[in-house]
Formats: sequence, structure tokens, C-alpha cells
Amino acid sequence: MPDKTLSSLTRRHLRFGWWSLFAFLTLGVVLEALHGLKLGWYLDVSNETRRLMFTLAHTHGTLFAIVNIIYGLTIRELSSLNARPYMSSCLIWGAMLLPGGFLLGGLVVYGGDPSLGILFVPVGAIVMLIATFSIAKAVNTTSRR
Amino acid sequence: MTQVAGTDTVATDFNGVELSLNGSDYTLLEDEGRLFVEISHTKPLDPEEPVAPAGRHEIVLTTGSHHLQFYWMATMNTRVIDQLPFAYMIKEERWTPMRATFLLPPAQGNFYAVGQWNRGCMDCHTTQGRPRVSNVSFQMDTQVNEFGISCAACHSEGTKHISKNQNPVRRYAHYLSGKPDDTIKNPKRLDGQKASLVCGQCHSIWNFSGITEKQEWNTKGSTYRAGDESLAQRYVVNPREAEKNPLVRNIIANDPHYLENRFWPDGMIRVTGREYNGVVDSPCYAGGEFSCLSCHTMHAKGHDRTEIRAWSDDQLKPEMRGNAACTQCHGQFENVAALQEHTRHQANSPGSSCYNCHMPYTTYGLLKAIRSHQVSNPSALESLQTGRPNACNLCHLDKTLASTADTLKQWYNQPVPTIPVDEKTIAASILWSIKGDAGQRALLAWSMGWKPAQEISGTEWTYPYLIRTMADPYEAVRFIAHRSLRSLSGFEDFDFDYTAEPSAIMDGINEAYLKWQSLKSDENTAFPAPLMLNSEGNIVNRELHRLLAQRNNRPVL
Repeated sequence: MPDKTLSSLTRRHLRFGWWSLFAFLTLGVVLEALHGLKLGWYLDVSNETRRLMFTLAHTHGTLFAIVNIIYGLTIRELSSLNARPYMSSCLIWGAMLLPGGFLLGGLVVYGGDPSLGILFVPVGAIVMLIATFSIAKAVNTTSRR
Repeated sequence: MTQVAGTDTVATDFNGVELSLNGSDYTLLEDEGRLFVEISHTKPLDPEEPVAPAGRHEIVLTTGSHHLQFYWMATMNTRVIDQLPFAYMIKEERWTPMRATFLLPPAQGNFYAVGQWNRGCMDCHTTQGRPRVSNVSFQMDTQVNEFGISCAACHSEGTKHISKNQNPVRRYAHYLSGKPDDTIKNPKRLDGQKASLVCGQCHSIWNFSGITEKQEWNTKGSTYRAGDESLAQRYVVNPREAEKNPLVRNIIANDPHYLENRFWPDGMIRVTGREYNGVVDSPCYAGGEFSCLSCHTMHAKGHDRTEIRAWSDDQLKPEMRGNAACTQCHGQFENVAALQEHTRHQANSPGSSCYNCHMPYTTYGLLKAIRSHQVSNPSALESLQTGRPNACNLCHLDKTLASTADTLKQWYNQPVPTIPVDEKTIAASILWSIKGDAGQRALLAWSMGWKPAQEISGTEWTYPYLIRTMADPYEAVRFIAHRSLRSLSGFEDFDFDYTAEPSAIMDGINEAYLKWQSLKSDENTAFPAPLMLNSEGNIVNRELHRLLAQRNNRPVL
């Protein structure tokens, strides 16, 4: 892959990763504020599912933001990496769909179940698995610069 | 509720507590999270008294978490358990003999025998209990599904509900369609009568329909499930049909005071914990929608301790502590003018509380008066016929029954009954608290400590009556009188052991009397005649003894 493209991919993942990190860290601060304000909508026993969904959204979003940053740095580090466009798309979509599904799922809850937004989670998980597997395989076959 | 005993479920510091009763000493101990009692006997045991043998016994279960906590000991005989003869009073933070927590005649010894929990208490203090009492030996292989009152008690069995709902498509189909799930019962979706019976399965005076049903209960437990139309092996006792029902006649043959200990003479329930009997006799119930759940909820709203504690007191919905409970249906009384016209009291006064007039404190239990759950109207005639205090005289403690009858005639055109002389000249509360049976005396002792009654009737005249009631033969009445006395000015910190020996009781009463003498004004006061006090504020002795001679001394338990 030409250097220019690689550089563009690096920037793309670093940009996405850092903004995503900012967004999900902000969500973490909001969740802590909900604890501080003792909001029943978040803390009531009957809203345990919402609390779980939002917590999962926060942790997965933060983790995947860091994964994107690491992927950006990996591309820069391994110039011979066969970084195909679908890997990049999967990594970004997975990082949006999976935590986004938890977030949407928690906005409305039915007793012990989240809303249908949760359906984005398995889609995001599959996309993320494809991305990580493909990247791991590509790294495996890459010679060190 | 019943809980497995342990340091996490016991309501107080347990370790090292030393208690004594009737020549037996009890030392409470904790050992690695388990609770024990060491019992020793300092005098020969009375064979009539069911007392556990000397030695170390493990406390295995506790019952109660709001007002009182009781303790049950393993007997090492199958699953038969015995009761520790002491209870812990949670609010008062004190231990007391178990028998002193019930309204029991003074001659009554320990109320519960070995195995009583297995045979009776667990019926309603566990979920799906099965006594499994042997007919041929004193052995009990008692089993329960859960010790507390759990989901299945009110929602029927959950096995099918759980297995069916492992399918997420089924769950979301219900969420999105809003249709009820037919694999489980939700009392909120039942009609009023079935919903009330969910509570009534325990909160009623019930009995077994026959020996076959009792035997089935013994092995399988209750076959009633939430949503059913009747209690299956059991029936709710209706005192008005007692003559017609051979089963009730049979109970009365064994216990002649069975009905009068539980019901007022007109059939209204007079003991707490059995509110279903009152609910079904309420006019509201006939409409078909009204149920226990119109005012109560079994699931707390909110999450913090304050909200949960507020809810756990009567388990009322938050908005149901005031007139909103009644204006759900009787919406016309949301209008202040209409309310005042109806009640003839200021809208913000206790006299305009629907509860105070239509659900007065005429049931007894847990060492206090509790609101009647049979919605009714105040009636002087009913008070005269049944001895049940009416709502007016429970607040206007200083008024006569004749005065109430006249007022009810003027305001609501109720016919004035023929009123005997005493009821015309002596405050109704005084007559009930002197002449009444132990249940009436307990209610009146409680009312004299009830703030709305104190505010409208004054408290200056109640001191001698409460001090006198502290000598009542019934320990529970003494306790209530002392608690009410402590609500009066000058007696906030007055200690009195209501379970002490008679001589110590009299010492305590003398001390209270002297304290009251030192507090009250030296000036002579002209008390209203119905209060039966002389100018020094003392009860007119001649009248007191005349009324005491008329006291209803029927054993109440």
C-alpha cells in the first residue's frame, strides 16, 4: 500500500480513536455525575439494566477507541502491513455499533431487558471480531521494517 | 418474614445478651456468624410451661423485621423448632418476654409450644411451606420454597414463566405489544376481588375446609395460586355465617371465644394482619375494581434507604398517605369546599382526613392500634351495640357518646339511639378504657397518645388515666399506656418496666403519680364533668370503682 494511503489510514484511526475516546470518557463523567446526583432513572433497583447497559457502553467505547489508536500506530509502525480498507471500516464500525448498541439499549428498558437498540451489539461484535482477526492475521504475515 | 438466623439478619447486637424469665437464664451468643442461646434453669421447671431443656441451642430462624423479631431454636428432633421465649422490640431497642408482645391474659403462660412454627406460623411466614408433620410421631420434616414472602406468593408459580421467557423473541413480542404474559399472574391485572385474595391468602382469618384439605396442606402446602377465585383447601371465616357453617361451629365448640377475640360483635375484624376480612366487607369492594393494590404496593419506588423505609411502613404507594387514596374514586372531595361541607371540619385538619373517619384505629396488633380496613361511617349506635370505638370519639376523647350521637344527627341525619346514662355523662373514651375488654383498653390507651386526639381533646386530663392503665392486668395494655404517657409533657424520659413483678409495677405507678403531682398546677381546675375528674385533677374514686365493677374481664388473646 502506498505510503500516502498508509499515512491517511493512520490519521483516520488516530482521529477516530481520539475523538471516540473523548466521547466515551465524557460518557463516563456523565455516568459518575448520575451517581453523584442520585438520579433514580439511573440508580433505582428497577433500572439496573440501564445502569449495566450504559456502563458497558462506556467501557467498550473507551476500549475500542484505544484499539483504534493502537491500530493507527500499528499501521505507521509496520509499513509493510497489508492493511486492507475493509479492516479499517470494520474496526471503526465495530467501535461505533457495539458501544452504541449498549447505549441505545439502555435508553429504554423493559424490566430486565434492554430496548431493541441492543441488536446493534451482536452486529458490532461480529464486525469487531472480523477486524481484529484480519489485523492479527495481517500482522502475523508482515515482515518488520 | 422468616429469615435464616445469622449475624446479618438479627436485628440487634446479640452476643453476650443475658436474659432471665421464670427461673431460667438465657445467654445469647454469636459464633462464626451463627447464633446460639445457652439456657440454664435455676429452679425446677413447671411441667405446664413449655421450656427448652438446659444447654446450648442454635437459633436457626428469625421472624419479623419491622416491629418485633422472634427467634426459633433447633431442637435436634428432625426439623422441629422451638421458640426463644424472648422477642426483640426493634423501635424500642429492648428485649422483652415473647408473651408480653401479644395481648394475652395474665394467667397465660408461654403462648407457643415446640413445633408451633412448623404447624402454624410458617403457613404465612414463608413461601409455599409444607409442614409435613408426622401423624404418628413427634417428627416434622418441614419444607419451604423460600423463607421470605417471595415472588411466587403473589405471582403464582414461575417455572413455566422462566422456561418460556428464555426465548428473547417471546419477551420482546410481549414488550412491544404490551400484552400480558399468560405464564405468570400479575395481581395488578387481576380484578379487584382476585387481586385482594392474593393478599387475603394470609391477611385473613382463615381455616381449613376439612380434615382432608388439612392433610393435603400438611404434605403439599397450599394449592391456591394467585389469580384463583378461592383459597382452595381453606375458607375465609365470616362470623356472620358462623351459625350456618359447621366448620366454624366446630371451632367455636373448641374455643368459645374464637369469634369475639377476632371480630367485633357485628362481624367487623378487630385484630390486625387480617385486613382482607375488613376489605371484603367494605362498600368499595363491591364495585369489583377496588383491591388492596388500590392503596398498597409490594414494590418500593425509589432506591435510597429513606424512601424504602417510608414505603416499608404500611407498604403504601407514596401518594396514598392522604385523601388521594379515596379521591381516586370519590373525586368530588378533591374540591376543598366540598370536602369541608362533607366533613364539617377544616380541610387541613385531621377531621377532614378520609382515613380518620372511615378507617379509624379500631383494630389491634403489634402493640398498637391499626386502622380498620373495613371502610365504614362513624356510628354512635354501632359503638353502643358492639363496644367498638367510633371515629369521632377516638379523636374527641373528651366527649360523650351522646354528644357524638347528637352531632351525627345534626350533620348526617343519623337516628339518635337510646343512650344509657353513663354514655350521656362520661366521656366515651373513659368508659371504654375502664369498662372495656383488654382489646378496647389497648385501643384507648393508644388513642390517648395519638397526636390528633391530643391536639383536639387536650392532654392535661389524660395523665391520671394513662398512669392508672399502666396497672392493667394485661402486659400489652401496660406497655401501650406507658408509651402514650411518654408522649405527654414531662414524661418523655419516664422509664417503666411493663413486664416487671406486680410490686415493681406498683412502684412505677406511684413514681409516675408523684411525678405528675409535681408537674401539674397547684390551682384547682374545673374539669368538664364528662372527664370524671375532681378539681385536683384526680379520677373520682367512687365512679372509678363503680365502672371497674362493670369491666368486661373476658380473657382476650
